[in-house]
Amino acid sequence: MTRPGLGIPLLALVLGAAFSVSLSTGRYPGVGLREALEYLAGQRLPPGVEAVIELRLSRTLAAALTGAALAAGGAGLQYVLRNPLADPYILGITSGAALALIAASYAGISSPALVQLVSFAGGVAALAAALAVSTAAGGGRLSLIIAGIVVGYAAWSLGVIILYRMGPEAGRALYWLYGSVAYATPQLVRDYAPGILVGVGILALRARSLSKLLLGEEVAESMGVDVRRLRLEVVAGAGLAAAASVAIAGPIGFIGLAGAWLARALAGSLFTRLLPASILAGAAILVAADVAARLMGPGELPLSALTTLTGIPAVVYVLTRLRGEAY
Amino acid sequence: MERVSSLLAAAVVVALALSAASLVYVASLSGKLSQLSEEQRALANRTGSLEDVTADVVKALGDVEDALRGLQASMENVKAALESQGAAAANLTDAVKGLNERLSLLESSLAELQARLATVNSTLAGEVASLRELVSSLRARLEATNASIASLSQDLAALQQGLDELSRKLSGLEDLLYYPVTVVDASGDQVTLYKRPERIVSLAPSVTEILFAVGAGGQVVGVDDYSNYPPEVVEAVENGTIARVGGPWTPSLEAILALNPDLVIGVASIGPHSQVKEALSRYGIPVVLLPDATLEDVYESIVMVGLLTGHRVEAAALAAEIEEAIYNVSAIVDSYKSTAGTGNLSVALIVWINPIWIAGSGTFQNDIIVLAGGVNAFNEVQGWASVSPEDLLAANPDVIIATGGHGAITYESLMKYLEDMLGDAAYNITAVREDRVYVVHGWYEDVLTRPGPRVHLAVELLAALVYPEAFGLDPAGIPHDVSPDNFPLPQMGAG
Repeated sequence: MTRPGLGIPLLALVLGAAFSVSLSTGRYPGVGLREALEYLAGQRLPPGVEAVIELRLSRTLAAALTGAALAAGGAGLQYVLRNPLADPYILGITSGAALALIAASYAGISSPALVQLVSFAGGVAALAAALAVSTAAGGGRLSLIIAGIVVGYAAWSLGVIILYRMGPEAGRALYWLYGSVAYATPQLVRDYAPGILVGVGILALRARSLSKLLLGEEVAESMGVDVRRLRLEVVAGAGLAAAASVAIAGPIGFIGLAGAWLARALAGSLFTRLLPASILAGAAILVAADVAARLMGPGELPLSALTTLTGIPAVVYVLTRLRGEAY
Repeated sequence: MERVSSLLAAAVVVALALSAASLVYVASLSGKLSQLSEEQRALANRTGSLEDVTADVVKALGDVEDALRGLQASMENVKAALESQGAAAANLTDAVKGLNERLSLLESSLAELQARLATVNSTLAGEVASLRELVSSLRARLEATNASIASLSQDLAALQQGLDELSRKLSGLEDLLYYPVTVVDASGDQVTLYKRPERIVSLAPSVTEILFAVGAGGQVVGVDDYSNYPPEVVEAVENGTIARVGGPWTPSLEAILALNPDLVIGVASIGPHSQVKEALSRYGIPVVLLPDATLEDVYESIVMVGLLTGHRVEAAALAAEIEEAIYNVSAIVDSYKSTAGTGNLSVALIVWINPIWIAGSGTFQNDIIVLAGGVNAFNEVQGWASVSPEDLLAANPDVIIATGGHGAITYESLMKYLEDMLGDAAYNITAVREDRVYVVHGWYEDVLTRPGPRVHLAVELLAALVYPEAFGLDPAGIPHDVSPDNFPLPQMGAG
């Protein structure tokens, strides 16, 4: 777009602002940004206030991490699948991860590492299924999207069936059908942030190679990029980040699209710029959405309702430009 | 002749002297009399009871005056006789004798009067004196009594104070002995309270109802947005003593924390309550999830809440009361069924339409149906589930009871939905054909959907709708849209 160099600082500024507003917004009276900074500076505060700050910090971090994971994953998948509509939610990855989490809960698995692994397996399996269906259907861009949506619905349905079989014990698991960070705890963030960091880290390590893909696969190959391996690595990184985000916040839709495309508009298509911009944009969108969720209802609104609304303009934008876009 | 006339003259002189003497005497008498009557008046003034006597005296005085008048008349007769000089001395003597007699009579009656006055005086004085004595003794006794009452009430106040202090010490001791209390909640966690919770937050309407029913309402500081019973809750929310913390499915952690709670109570079936437990437990705030899947769970919840809040006895009594109320309803239905030879009617309890959601087995509503003498038409379905209109056709319930969704569903909309989905086949459902379809509204809906302490009223409502004859009701008289206003519970207050 206009001045790619300004995009990233601008997004960082927006994220900083969203983060500050999030730390200052809540139903506990008398706790704002200042108290949060005092807490972070190591100052002792009344126990109730400390709890509120920790929980507010947790939900803000959870929103930021989740948004960053999904947007970064979306950007990476859009690159390697050469599909501008790729998004961890649309491709069925988050639904697959959610189904795996529900199954894990049904089976009584609670160790974070194991849960992370199962969730990752579910997400990647869902993507593999979508790719298989799409390839069988001729491999078109839209066929992959449709295949992803179909796989996502299948996973959702299976999840609902398991929840029904669980009966009243479904409580915790129901969380994975409706995205929310309202009940995020420091422990939850600690447990699953590593998955997101590793996943996004893989994408960051491959950013240079990914940028070369813009020149076309043959050129990239000739420049020493193992495209096949790169594709696997990006799918693994995006899948890991998305799976961890589902474990934190449940399936949250369209951030991959909205975040990556906002980043693209502000920072350009070069992946070395696109990745940090996507991370910042995704985080900012989800943090802002969570603030809105806090303010809109008397209670806590599910996040997906809001993120889907922010994602739809991105989908429309991409669809109308798909024809002419070289990509 | 001269002798006779001198004799006569002598006699006249004697008679005159006599009458003069008697006159003087009479005059002195009348002087005494008037003195007496003055005394008597004085007496009459002193006491009203003397009036009778005074009247007697006045009357007697009148008699005396009358006699005096008679005497004057007879003296005039004597004078006439003297003047005519033809009067007989014998007549005069007789008259004098008669006068004498009457005078002596007068004397004796006067003496009698005096005696009576004297006795009246003396008795009066005696009585007044004894009365005065009585009054003064009474006054003394009154004063003594007053004094003893004052000292007694002082003693009482001191006693009361002592008692208060003792009971304070006792309840402190009781608390010491009572707590710590440990329960295992529906999530399998051990939750321990080390002192009586005074700042409780309830996350669901059924929890709020249980808290108030066991007498812990005064310890509640926060409730969910839907808690509307008992009325004290709404009042307390309006005057700010209880805060709202979000919907049952969307509680706000910060709103809960803002209340500085020492106990948070939710239910197992609502997912976000587990999240709240996870988030708050690490800050030392005990969060208890009550079991709420079956009627047995309702009893368990009541006992658990009683134990946690320090109302163990009230909770046990409440649970027993609910159990007894339900037993009474069941007994009425059972005796009706055995005398009327009626079998168990099958009941479909619909909690939502489009799609139809029913309460299957393993729900507290299933227990309500069974205790009301019915059998769940969707016995094979586990928990709450959505079923197709065909499923309803296949289950063929004898009675359909739906909850109104707070105005979203009416008898009309339910029937329209069934007819739209099934067409004429809707009338193959016994309940539809026999016009036994009811939609419940108002607080009837709350008792049918909340696993709380009013569950016995739900049993009663269902029993009355399914077996109205058992309660002397006409099935045709039951409104299709049933509410507390148009269909009072037959046994209301049995529990």
